[in-house]
Amino acid sequence: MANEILTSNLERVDSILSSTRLLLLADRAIMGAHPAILEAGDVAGTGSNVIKVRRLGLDGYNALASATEIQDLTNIAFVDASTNVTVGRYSVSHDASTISMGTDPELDWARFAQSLLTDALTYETTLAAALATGFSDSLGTDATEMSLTTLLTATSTLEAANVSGPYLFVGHSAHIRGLRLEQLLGVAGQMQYQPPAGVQVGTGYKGRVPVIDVDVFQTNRSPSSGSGYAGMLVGQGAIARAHMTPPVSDPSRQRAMGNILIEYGRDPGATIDQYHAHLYVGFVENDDARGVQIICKA
Amino acid sequence: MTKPRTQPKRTVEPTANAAYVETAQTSRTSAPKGSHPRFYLASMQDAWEVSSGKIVPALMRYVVRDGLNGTQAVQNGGGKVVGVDATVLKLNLSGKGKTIIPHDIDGPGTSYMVCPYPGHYVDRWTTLYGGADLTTYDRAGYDAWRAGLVDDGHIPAPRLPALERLRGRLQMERDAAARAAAKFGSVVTETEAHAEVKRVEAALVVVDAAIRQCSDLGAPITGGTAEVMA
Repeated sequence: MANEILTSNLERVDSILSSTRLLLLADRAIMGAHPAILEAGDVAGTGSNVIKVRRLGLDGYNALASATEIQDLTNIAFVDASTNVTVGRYSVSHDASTISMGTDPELDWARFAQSLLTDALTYETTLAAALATGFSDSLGTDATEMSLTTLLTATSTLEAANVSGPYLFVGHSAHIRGLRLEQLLGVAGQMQYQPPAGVQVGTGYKGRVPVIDVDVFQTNRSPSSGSGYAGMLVGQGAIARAHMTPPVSDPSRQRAMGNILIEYGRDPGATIDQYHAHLYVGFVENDDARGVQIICKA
Repeated sequence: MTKPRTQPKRTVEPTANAAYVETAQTSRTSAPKGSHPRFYLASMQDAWEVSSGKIVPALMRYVVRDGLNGTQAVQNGGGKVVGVDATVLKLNLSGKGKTIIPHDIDGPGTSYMVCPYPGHYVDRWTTLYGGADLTTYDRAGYDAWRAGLVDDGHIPAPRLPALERLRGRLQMERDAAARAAAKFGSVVTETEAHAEVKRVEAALVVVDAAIRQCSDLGAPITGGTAEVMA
């Protein structure tokens, strides 16, 4: 036989782009605002990118002394302390040729703006998670699994230090593995870990441990510690966050969303589109006594 | 005649252009496993732990990034980053009784921080292996170095209150682990649960021995004889 019509002798394109596509794998969990993270404020227009968070010895901090009917009491010292939060800039940028943008069916200004915004929001999770290794109280080792017992002990530590809740546990997927194994292998008591209802997401808020009032947040951005990972249980005010709302000088090519500035630029000579995201934020360990580092094996 | 518009002079270094990765299946958002941005280690007078059979200072790690932990970049006149200002970090830590350990505490030309990839750092007991998401960690070496910081006088030896606190913590861990071991299934395996109990009990033996030998109680708080009440 001869002259059959075969794909190899037809004029064809190599391939077409499917309308179905996946995102590359990444930890896309956004921690966002949680009551355990103290929002120190916006430094915009304040004259400094450093903001001081005070801790005051008020509202039940001081003990009263008994006194006789007309005794003139000696005054007591007023106690306060503070931590400084420095707001910095984090940025990511894409440059793209006009030909690449003109021929791509999906990538354009709007798509990049959406993506850059998510990049910035998720990067805040990296910054917050990195604080775990700074807490001096530490539980667990890089040779042992995370357990509910460890979480309970950490909770007891915070409660003993009079730390207000709700508590937030930030852990690597290795931490969650330990909790889940314990759950699935059948804890019969009251210490049940309550997973979120509905579709399981890869990372992010993963439910709560109701008996001890702990929200569980999973992120693979948790830092390493030895050969394992460092997570943390924090109460209210353990971590402080400050930000700056960036000024928008040219609304035609800039959009500010909270502390994130997305902007578009153009190099006309080189026909290059420029997409930028700038994040203005600072995180700091505000009070060491309000957090516990929890280490688990990788 | 309209004056030609000139580009304003940049005052900061332009953001590096992110590479567009089409084929990599691993996350670009994560650093090489085990690595960090630049960091300091810090000690705290009452933070101790038992590791490798020794009582060693529990060191904290503070990542140095612009806006994190109070640090910020130092720029030259052209906006190029030439260093890090850790003044606020040190101020924050000193208020909490923590002390930064200098990178070159072992002598000029040494550092506990090494840089296997540009922009990514590890402590010198961590080894990264190229081409694989694999790290190894020299636990014994790290513990020996921490013990050496005490032996060399860089960090004061633990006082009795700190040891008592460590013992209390370990007893709490031991009791919790024992309860977990008694209730099979509440930890991954019964064997692992019992191993955890043994690990903590071994640590308690070390701390108990240290407490028996410790004579540093801290400054005594004395007072006069209290009044006799009817």
